[in-house]
Amino acid sequence: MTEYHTISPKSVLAMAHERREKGDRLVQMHCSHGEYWEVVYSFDGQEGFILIPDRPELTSISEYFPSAYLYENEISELFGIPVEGMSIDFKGRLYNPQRKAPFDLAGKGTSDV
Amino acid sequence: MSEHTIVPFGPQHPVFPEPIHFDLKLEDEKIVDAFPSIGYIHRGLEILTTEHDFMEMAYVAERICGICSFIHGMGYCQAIEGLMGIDVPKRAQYLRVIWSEFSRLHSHLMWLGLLADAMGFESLFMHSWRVRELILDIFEESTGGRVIFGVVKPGGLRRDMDADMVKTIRKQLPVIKKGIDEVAKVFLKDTSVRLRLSGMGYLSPDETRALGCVGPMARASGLAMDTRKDSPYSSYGDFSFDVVTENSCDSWARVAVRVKELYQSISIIEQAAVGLPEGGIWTKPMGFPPAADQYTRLEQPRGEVVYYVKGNATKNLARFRVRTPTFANVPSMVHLIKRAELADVGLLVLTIDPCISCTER
Repeated sequence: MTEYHTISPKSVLAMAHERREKGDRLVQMHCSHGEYWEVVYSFDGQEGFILIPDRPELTSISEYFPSAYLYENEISELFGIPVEGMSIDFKGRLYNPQRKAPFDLAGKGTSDV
Repeated sequence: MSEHTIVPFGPQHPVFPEPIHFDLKLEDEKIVDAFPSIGYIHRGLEILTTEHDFMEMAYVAERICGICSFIHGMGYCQAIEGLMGIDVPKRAQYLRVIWSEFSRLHSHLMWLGLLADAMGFESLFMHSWRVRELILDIFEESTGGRVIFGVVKPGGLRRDMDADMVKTIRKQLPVIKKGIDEVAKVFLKDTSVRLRLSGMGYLSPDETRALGCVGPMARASGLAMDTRKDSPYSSYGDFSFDVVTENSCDSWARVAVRVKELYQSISIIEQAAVGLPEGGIWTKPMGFPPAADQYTRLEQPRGEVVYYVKGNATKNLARFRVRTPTFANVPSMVHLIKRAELADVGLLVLTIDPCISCTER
């Protein structure tokens, strides 16, 4: 079973800075929700996890880990958690979750929002 | 003043084996920006964990992708085994390694063929796939399936391999190796392949690390990253092999890494077949996954894959998450396209060996 370090949303940038300085690699980010909303950051160096309870507003770590923008866009689109300061913000167009059939032609039976 | 043109690229494109869409912002023929869109084949497989119990989910995990199906099933089972504290019998671990490495052979040969086809080298494409066919035959004979095998389950395996099958595999390995020798010579020595791929899609080691690349993409830029070595899972620690790297950091290096990994996989399979222990192949999971989390990593043909499972002490999991290697390689793909010529986009996308089915789940 995996051990977590729990941090507050405000400490995310400081944590990212520290990990970057240590030379860790961002392995992945994901979101899950049960009793609370949790965002998990996984890094290579120490197999560490950081968990943010509650449904937070996140600050992007793409300044320190450029690949983070893709995970952050995914979390933002599929879980509705706003992420501030992403280096590339697809503005909901990565998965296009606001449209039922995103790649169908508009007006051909889709419910375009 | 330069004018920008937006060109929609994909999802249906002769070079793309799977659907991904890009909006390419062009200045003449040069791409200055690229915006990917995915979602064509998002099937919501992760959420199915609320409908299927944790044993059935192994079947769902296998269906994430038709190429790495076995390793997806194995990764899911490994996560469940870690969560529930199950010891997998040694024989099952060795057999998992054998099927995993055959999956790598099959995936790399398929990719090499697709790349050859994209370059217009059709005979090389057909020869690569001819060799791949030998591996699919072994899958069929040993598991009953050529794409989805259904042999892996939490705690071990559903199906054993008898002595005759192991003998057949050992007999076929030199035949496969001979076939690989023929295509490898062309991929590594042929001038037209070299001219088309050398220098294309250069990604420095620093960029590779910063963009979070995994698998052959990272190893082709000189980063010796391989989960099988870095944190050995199953029985990989029992086998002798070196991480394959290349230093030219371009599309040709990505080909060279994959070609050399073909030989590495054959060596690992040979070692596992020779040392295959006797014994059982399944430890029965007792009870339900506890209310805790487990995170596990494996090396798929395309790179590191991450599985996360969260139990809630019922037959269903609270959360199942897969971070596939292609997902990790998308930032580098966007980065490479941004500096490319329009004519190179198809081939560049292909060099990362994208699996969109995996990425979208």
